[in-house]
Amino acid sequence: MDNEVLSFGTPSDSQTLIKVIGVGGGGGNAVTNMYNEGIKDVSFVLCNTDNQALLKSNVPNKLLLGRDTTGGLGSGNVPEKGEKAAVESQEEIKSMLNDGTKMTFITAGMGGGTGTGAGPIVAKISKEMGILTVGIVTIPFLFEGRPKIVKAVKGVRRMADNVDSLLVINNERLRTLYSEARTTVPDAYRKADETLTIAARSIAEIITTNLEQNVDFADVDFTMRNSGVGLISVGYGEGEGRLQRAIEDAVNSTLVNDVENIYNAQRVAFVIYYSHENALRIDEMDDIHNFMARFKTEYEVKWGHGYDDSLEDRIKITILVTGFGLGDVLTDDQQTEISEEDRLRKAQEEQEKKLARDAEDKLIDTYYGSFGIRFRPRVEPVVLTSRELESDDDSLIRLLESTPAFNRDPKDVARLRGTHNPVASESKTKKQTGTVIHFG
Amino acid sequence: MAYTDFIAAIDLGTSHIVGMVGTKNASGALSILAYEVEKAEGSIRRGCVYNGEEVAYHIGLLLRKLENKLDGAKIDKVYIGIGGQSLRSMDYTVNKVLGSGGEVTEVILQEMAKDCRMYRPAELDVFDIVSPAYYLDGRAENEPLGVNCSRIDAKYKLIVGRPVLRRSIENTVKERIKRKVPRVLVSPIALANLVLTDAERQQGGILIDFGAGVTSVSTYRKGRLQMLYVVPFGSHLITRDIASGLDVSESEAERLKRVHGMALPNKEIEQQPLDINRMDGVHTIKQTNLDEIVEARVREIIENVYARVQDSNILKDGGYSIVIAGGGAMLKDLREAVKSRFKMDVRIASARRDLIEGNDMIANNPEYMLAAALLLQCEENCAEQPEVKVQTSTFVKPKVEPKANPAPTQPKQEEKKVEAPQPDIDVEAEEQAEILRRQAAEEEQKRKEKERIKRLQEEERRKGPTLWGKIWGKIEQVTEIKDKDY
Repeated sequence: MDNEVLSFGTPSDSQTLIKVIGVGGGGGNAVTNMYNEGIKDVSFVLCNTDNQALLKSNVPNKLLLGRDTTGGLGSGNVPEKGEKAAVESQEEIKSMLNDGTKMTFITAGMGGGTGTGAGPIVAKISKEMGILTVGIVTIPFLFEGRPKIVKAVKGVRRMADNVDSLLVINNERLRTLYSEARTTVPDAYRKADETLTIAARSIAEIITTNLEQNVDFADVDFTMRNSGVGLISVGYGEGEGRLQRAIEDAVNSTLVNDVENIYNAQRVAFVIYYSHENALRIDEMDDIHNFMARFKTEYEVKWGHGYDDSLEDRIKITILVTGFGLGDVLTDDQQTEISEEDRLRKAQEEQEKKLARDAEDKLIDTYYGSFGIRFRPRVEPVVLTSRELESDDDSLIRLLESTPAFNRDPKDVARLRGTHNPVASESKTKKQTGTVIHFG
Repeated sequence: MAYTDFIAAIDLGTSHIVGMVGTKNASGALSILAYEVEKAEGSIRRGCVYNGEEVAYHIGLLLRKLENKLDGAKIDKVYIGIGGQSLRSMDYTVNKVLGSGGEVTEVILQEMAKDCRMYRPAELDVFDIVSPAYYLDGRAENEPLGVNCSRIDAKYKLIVGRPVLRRSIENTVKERIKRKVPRVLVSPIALANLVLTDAERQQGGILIDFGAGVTSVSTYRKGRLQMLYVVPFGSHLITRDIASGLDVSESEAERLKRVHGMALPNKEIEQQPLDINRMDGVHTIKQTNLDEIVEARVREIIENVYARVQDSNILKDGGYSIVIAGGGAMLKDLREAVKSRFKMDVRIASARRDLIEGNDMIANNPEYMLAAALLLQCEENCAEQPEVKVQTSTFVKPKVEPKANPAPTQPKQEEKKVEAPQPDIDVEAEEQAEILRRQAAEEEQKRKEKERIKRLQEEERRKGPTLWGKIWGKIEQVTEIKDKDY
């Protein structure tokens, strides 16, 4: 094994505020991309359990996780192993972050071993050090199979618990966005990596470039600190009404499930870029005003604008919104996968508890039976969720009707909730609230 | 002298269908002229029409019985209440950016109301629109007219549900028995108008209607509906649980529920013996055996109602009290059970004195209360008019929930305009279709008439006083069922 790679040195280009950390394979690719493209004032670090993957990358700062746990051979798609590796290396992670970093991006692909398991640990350490910690994760395509999705969604949950803000890039949603072209599978993966890159780069750009009307670190900090799930989206526009087009482009290419949802964001920041040749015009300010008015947030909408001469006649908008729930970015199927497992496990537990209680009751009965004392097993009532109630599928309700409430087997209910999951069949009626917006 | 000016409403309950006819005086108080009940077992499920033909038959019978009581006056139109599974409220916000120096005008409010009416949620029917709460630049404002602001939001509550709720009623009443339905009414809202006091509406009132097939819950505050939900479980399930748990017939189960059923088991009497009638004779069980069955189902229903109230996130504000209504509310100790779950004051619903003339006991009978509530919402004269006359309705709207339309002066054409673009078929084809439809309808009518006569005869025979008649009826029934199977 190459010792030079294993040893971790302080970054040569130190004194940067922002550190982008790629954890695992997917995150590593994205960070390598970013490094190759070059973003100034940002430092990069790769963390992986797989030494070979680390060796391949051009990024100079690398950290091998879990020397003893994995021996540099990877986590074998087992998140627990990835987690263990990160815990083993936590001192090294701490010293890597302890160089004046104010903000970290932790990019990882969810669904494998290292990103899923180690990502949340790296995030936790960073957040505990008071660094503004932003997770940027991808979740797999549906075609990658159920076990991977279950792992991924669990990982996303753990990530969400350990970061200030989490940007989720839903690959499945990518697929629907780029479905018209006959995209090949490698292209699809590249696109996923690219999106991860764009997300991290756009935020870094907001902070590091000097704008005319500036959005600075404090603004981003305000927007992202403890803000739950967030989204970042970039749009371009050209020609007549170019700003309006850029806004539409950005809004429509967000990876949120329902485009209208973006306006439900709690905190909003956006930046507009234009070139010296064709700068932002006064008449375009109306578009900005209208766009800001559509947000229902109580907070101030932070925004700025500045030059980027590579754009020529085009205009570019970067929108950063936060304060969503996980439900806004996961597809129904993905949510189902996780809840079904939870449910079955819960039902199992309930059943076991009931059996234990029954056994106790029997015992009590043998001694106290003659006194006529009875210990009633408490059957837990089944409470429908509003989704189940609004669903067009009545099978669960029929089951609850036809089985008496006092001796129903909770397993039957759990099974039906799993298979006939109204969450899945609900997507059509999901849009419960709508909004008409007028500009007068 | 036949009546010429009255209103008529039908409550399609899961256990029974109630029809009621009455008049409203100048102050909007109701006096009930006649009422009739038909058992509807099986043909209505969870508050929704399940067997249209059977329901049409019952409604037809009901209307004829009512007409007999009205000295032969004909009921031309009838209002129908809906309150079945899938009914619920939904938020819908219309907003408008007025720009700096903008002012709220009547026109703006009307335009927003129009936008709201235009909205068609996917796969849902909108049954009612409750007047909106206005927010000017994010601040709540009760009287927005004339106020300056740059942005106005109108938050409406739509009452939505599966389209089949309306369609099935139109199929049964309009198509099968050829009576007009001026409007379908949302039963829980009608009921709230009848039973909630002004104080409950203002400070926070939760109305729970324990029906046989469904349980509806609606909450009010500051005079406004906050949410409405229909939980698809009703008190009939208690009966079914008793029947299967104690191995008795449904009628015996119903008797046990009414006489011995308790929502909260009482420790002191739980060892008391209880006689139940099974097919093979009388058995003795303990009260606790029954309690266990009843309590489990009641708890499930209450928990589901509680979950809806909790979801709506209103419990953080204090001041709410609960009103329980419906046949299910007659279960012993249900009030206490609800009280202990919600930790709020609970009272049993009664009709507001100012809305019912002469303190009518009928309106306070849980079985008829909803029908009276629906009747109170009727506006058009439902009597068949001998000649074409200008409408002579003298009814004054009662002081109740403000109407769905915030601008009641809005001309009717407006509404037509909204609906106009939907039928987009060419005129000729439509005319032909109309002729065909009429022919089909006539045939249908004849067939129906025959069937109805046959049915009446059968009914007569079944109900016949002699044992032989009863047996005959049974045989008929059995063969009929078999016929249906093939």
